[in-house]
Amino acid sequence: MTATAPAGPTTSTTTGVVTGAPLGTAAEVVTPTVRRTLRRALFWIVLVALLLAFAAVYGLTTRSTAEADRFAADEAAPAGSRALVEVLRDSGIDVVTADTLDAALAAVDDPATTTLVAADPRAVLSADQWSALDGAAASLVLVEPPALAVGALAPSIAPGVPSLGGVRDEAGCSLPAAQRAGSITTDGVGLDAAGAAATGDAVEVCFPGEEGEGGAALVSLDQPAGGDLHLLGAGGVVQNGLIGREGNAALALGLAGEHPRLIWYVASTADVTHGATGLSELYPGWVNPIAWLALTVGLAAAVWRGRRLGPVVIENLPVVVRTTETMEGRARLYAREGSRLRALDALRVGTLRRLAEGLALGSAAGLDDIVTAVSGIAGRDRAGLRALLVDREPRDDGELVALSDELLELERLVQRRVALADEGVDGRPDDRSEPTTR
Amino acid sequence: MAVTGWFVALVALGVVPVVLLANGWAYVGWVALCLVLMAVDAALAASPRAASLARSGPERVRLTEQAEVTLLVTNGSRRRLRGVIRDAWEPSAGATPRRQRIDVPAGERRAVRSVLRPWRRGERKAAMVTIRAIGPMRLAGRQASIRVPGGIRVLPEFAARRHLPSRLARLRELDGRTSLMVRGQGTEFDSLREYVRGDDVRSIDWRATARRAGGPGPAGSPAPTLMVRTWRPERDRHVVVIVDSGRTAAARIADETRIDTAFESTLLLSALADRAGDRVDVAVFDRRVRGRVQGARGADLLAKLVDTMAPIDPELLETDWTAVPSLVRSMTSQRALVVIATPLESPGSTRGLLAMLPQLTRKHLVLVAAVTDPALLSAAADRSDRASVYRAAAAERAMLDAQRVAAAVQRLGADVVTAAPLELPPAVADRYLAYKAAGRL
Repeated sequence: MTATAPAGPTTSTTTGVVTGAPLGTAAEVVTPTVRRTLRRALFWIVLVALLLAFAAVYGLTTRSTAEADRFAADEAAPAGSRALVEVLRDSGIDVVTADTLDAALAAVDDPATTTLVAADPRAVLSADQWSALDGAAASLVLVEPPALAVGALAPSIAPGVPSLGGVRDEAGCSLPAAQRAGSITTDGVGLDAAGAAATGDAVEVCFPGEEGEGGAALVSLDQPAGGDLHLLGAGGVVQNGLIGREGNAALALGLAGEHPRLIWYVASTADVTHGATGLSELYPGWVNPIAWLALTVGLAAAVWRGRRLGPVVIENLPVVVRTTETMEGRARLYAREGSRLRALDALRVGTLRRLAEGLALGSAAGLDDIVTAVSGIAGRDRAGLRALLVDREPRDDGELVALSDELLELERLVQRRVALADEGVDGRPDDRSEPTTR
Repeated sequence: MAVTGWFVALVALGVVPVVLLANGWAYVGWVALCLVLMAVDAALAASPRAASLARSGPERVRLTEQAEVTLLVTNGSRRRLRGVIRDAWEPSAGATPRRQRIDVPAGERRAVRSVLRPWRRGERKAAMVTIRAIGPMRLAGRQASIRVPGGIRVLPEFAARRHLPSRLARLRELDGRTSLMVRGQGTEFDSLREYVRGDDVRSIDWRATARRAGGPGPAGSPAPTLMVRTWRPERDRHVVVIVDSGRTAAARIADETRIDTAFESTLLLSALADRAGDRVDVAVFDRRVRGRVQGARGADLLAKLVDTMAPIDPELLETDWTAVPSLVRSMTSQRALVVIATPLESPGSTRGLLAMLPQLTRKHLVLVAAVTDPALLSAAADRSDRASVYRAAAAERAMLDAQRVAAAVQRLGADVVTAAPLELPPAVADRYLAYKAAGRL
């Protein structure tokens, strides 16, 4: 101990008696050490770590199907088209996958021996981009073509309405692939070729369906720049989930496997040329980190303010019992049961007692004595007083309140008269015969 | 572990590098830097566990007064202990300030003072001391709660002591009147003195006068000095106070429990009776003797009384009145004034008391001191609407019950004092003085 201990020896001055532990006594530390806290929480830490590890492994092994890329050549989920692509590749077809328009067009070596399958599930391509596909390959297959694609490449066809489910077993056209298929499922969009028939274009309408079934599943016609154009409205035909049903596989293989080279093109966001590609390009690059930083600052502030300086001190307090509780309870009981006479009697007994005390009648005074004395000093007739003090029974609460007021009035009157009489004894002139209101 | 506001500010300062670099890695790097700084700062803080603590301060404090308690903090570590300390007491001990800054260099000692303003009677304990030692960068700190035993006994307020001077004056008056007092029951011989005009001629002691004159003198010698006997109230009477600490004493009237009122009355009566030269014995009883003061006199009596009363709270059980006569017998063998402080409420709750009273009144002078509730009076006078009329009826009914019980007690030979909480102690003292004056003790 170097110097400046201000209190010196602990035995303090006048009132001082040392209580509790003397100086230097090892007091008990109640806060657990970090090591002990960790050891106590070990089970939970291990449990959470195991759960996280399990979740990570599970997420890596089973690719999520919720956000599956529809028609993607490497997507194994039911919405993808990996089955078709792999089968074609195994059967000797030179399959090239592309996710941008430029890549798809660049992959075309010889348009005469190339099939180009194009799908745009996110509807990112513009009409001009669709037009660029015109004449790119000998056979152009548009899977679930959006309205822009139909408008650009086959203006005589009206884009259809979504068609959900159902099986059609009437090809209704001379397309070999369709005839081989026999029957297909029609999940996707339907196409309306009525306009094309009117203009007299060479249009093959396959799996047309009945009236009101949402249009044709497949429409084949010529590209404006030459070559076949297949509008496959029933996109389910090429998807993993449905390709095994009905004659879907036959139709899909027939359309896609027509030429030795296949370019499988699914448009992606990289194709977007009009406007920004996403929100992230609209704001500067530090916005996201700042948001994370704000979150971290909030967390730090919560830890700063949330760490309390020692535990809450508890204390056993005595129970609070109010003495008027019985009185209140009894009053509510009277009111609920409508015991007017009982309540009034209690009030009357109190009034009589105070009247007897005020008139110095003594505790032995009977009812008649009190009535006589009060009628004398208050100047009221005995019968009326007796009715008020004993006989009258209240028929309703209003009468009870009125009677109680009368009792109080009588008490005050008698009190005033007695006080005046005392003053008169003292020799003061009794000139206030009529009591003034107070 | 604890972090400070500076740490939060440091994290928030990360805005600068994040905006300048416009990169997610800047954020990650900054947070990592902050965490490292925090860990280093916490590691550099002095260990609160190494501090040794000791308390000093008064053992007792009267309710409504304040006491200063001191906590000595000795820094046992080799680093400077700087931070916040909280000396936690039970809430009703009213300790202020709640938290204080401390700065104790290595190996030195400092005193932390706090003031207690207790608002409840009884033993108030110190719970624990929490020290948060902040590191040199003031970013983070280490914290530990250390249990250091300690406590203070909060004594009853004895607010009724303001009535004591006037009652003592009355007592002296009573003593001074003794020369005029004629011999009778409740008085004892005090002294002989010379006759002065105005003394009662019946108190002339002729034998003493004759002795003083030195035998029958010759006729015509100067008239002998007349001697009178003086009397004073009997002293060394015995006053036994029984305070009921059963469930009915827990009830609260005008923000004071009945047992507190009973304690106030007991203290005033004891102080007065002790000055008057009587012996006072006190027992607090419900089903067992909760506190007992016997054979103490003078200043020691009040000190012992408040010390005994301080920790007693009413028990939530019915008082066993059948044991009271034997308790009184164990405290006194001679005739005594037995004061019983208990509420007189309803015939049902006082049946035990009424059954026991005859055994006491046969031998002793018994006084029952009961608190009345002023709320009953105001409720009985309020007749403004239907609900309040019913309340008034219930209040009248309660007062009638109390009066019936008081009348029953009086029929059994005991006296009754009833008053509102603040008026009861002086009323009991006045009744004692009246007994004294009338020689009924």
